[in-house]
Amino acid sequence: MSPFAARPAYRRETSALYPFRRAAGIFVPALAAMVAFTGCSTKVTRVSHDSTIDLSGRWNDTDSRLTAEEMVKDCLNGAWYNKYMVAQKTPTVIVGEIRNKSHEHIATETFITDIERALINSGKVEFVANKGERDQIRDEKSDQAGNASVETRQMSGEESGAQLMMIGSLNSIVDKEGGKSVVFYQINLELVEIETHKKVWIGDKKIKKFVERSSTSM
Amino acid sequence: MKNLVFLLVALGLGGCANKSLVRFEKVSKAATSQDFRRAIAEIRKDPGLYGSHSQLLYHMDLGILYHYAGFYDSSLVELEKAKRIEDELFTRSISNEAASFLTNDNIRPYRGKPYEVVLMGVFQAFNYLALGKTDDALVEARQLQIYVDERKRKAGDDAESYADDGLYRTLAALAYESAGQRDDALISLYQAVKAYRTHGKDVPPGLGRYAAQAFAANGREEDIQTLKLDPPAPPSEHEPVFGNSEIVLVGETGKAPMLDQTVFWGTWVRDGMLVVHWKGPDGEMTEALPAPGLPASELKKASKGKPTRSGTTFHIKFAMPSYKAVPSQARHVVLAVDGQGSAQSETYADTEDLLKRYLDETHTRLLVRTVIRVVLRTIASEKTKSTLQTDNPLLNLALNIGTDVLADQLEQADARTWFLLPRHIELARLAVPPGTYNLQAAAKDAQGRVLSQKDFTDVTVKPRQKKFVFLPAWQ
Repeated sequence: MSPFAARPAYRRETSALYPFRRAAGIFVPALAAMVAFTGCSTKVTRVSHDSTIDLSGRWNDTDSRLTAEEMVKDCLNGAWYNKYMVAQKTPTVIVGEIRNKSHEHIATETFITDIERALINSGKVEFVANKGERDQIRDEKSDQAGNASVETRQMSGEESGAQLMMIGSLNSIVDKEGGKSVVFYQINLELVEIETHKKVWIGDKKIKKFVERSSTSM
Repeated sequence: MKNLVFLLVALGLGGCANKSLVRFEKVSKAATSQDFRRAIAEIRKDPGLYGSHSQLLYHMDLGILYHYAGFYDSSLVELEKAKRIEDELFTRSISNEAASFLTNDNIRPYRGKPYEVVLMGVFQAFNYLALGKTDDALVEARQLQIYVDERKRKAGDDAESYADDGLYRTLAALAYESAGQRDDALISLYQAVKAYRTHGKDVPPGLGRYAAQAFAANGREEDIQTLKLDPPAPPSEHEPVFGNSEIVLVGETGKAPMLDQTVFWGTWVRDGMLVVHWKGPDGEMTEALPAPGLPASELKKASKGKPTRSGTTFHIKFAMPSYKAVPSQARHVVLAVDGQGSAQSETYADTEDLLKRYLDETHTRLLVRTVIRVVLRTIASEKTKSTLQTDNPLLNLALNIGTDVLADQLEQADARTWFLLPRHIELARLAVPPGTYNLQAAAKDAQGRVLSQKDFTDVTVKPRQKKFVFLPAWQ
């Protein structure tokens, strides 16, 4: 019999179980395929540290690095910088607290490090260690005072005081409906003169992401 | 025969018994005696108690036990894993959903009940507050805001739906206040009172007084009227005041309820008897009645010496999750601060109420799923029986009963729940000026008898800070 011929009437399944069997016919191979796929081993590929990879839509290393670089560039192009240079003083900066006011647990330490790196690499400002680092160095100095030779001992009371402090916050707004969400980040940074409390620069960076997730999978 | 093989395979996939009771037996003894480290060890020793479909529950259980034990860092790690799993489970596997209709809901990954997801965030916020990380606690509050906003959108006009939570809003208000974000704190206070009102619950009296005082002091008198709060009165001694420092003792008292299953099954042995069985949390009942005789068409076959359906069975079984109370002793907590007086706790969350409301809310949906599942399986087992039928009525009976038993094993209600939650979450709040204090916290039963105590030494409270300390009493 030709495979294209219609099935004889007597062979047609008319039982209540027929649709159930058909469903099982689809379900069982699908299940087997799923098992085969999930059985694959972990695959790791090395990528460049500055490549952009977005997986979940959350704040990631690329957001942190690009924001720090752009904002520091904007900061150093500000009018305040020329004022310092006219006075022939290379400004000394410290990064203070950057508060996380977003909806994600963001490692602000990483972001602060990115800002510090961008500031130092610009060569336009001098940079001093932050409070925690200073405490460590002071401990080391007091240790040296009792143990290091006079020729190699580093003196206390010779620290450079910062003239400017960079502070700021990370904020976010999320608009979500089902599997779709729009995440808006706004990063605000300010440069404040420590002596006068004057704000010499205010900058912001906005990032908007559209995240879509499927509600079903096989 | 193929159908019989199918039933056996399905049994292998979904025939596992409810492991909630086994888990409860394993951890409850250690947890009741406040030996949370031993309870953690019991779970870690035997992850098979959960299986791959209950990974969310595994991390939730470990997370809350670490919190009770005071290992807040470890609790953060476990609850964060749980939150990631819950987030990833947004995507539903079609094959898994289909398989659950052929077996039972226990083969679906456990997604957590909405109030459990909220409490997961609340306990994360508690952990951050215990570690003095207010900004991180506020991140949790913002994530919960997104979650409840989505719940509200889905609920639409359904006022009965769980779409907000008074405890979470109160916690957010205190954390915002501590961080100096007054407007956010006032909005959260408003939402806290509204959440209790919307769900028909009494607003904790201390919260009502605090909110009224805060609204009046910040030019939001219309909020007092909208929420129908009593006009603000001068706070009594040691009563917390908006914008001032205080110590908050969080009491996690009693044991959350569990889920069991209500089972009904009935077997009609044709030309024999009718057996019906019911088992629920209140007991069980079995009735055997004589079955009606064979219909005329079958009697005609018998008179001609042809095989009849005598001795064959028709079997049906339903299992639905049902509420199961767990007896608790601990009810309230009391906070005493050296030289500053004491405060009795008020109830901000009751997991009995939350679970009962969840069961009411999901009853119709669960019933429809159960009916579809039972109908599909009954068709499959009836077909199996007809293909196995012989000329021997006694052998038919044995084969039919065997098939019924196999199909029976598949019908299990999904009784998974986060039973390691406390029954009540209590807050005892005491206003103190900034300084360093020694505190005594005690958990008491409903009659006021002290069940457990804990001392906190050299607790430093900064200006405007809401200092959180915790007393678990899962007993």
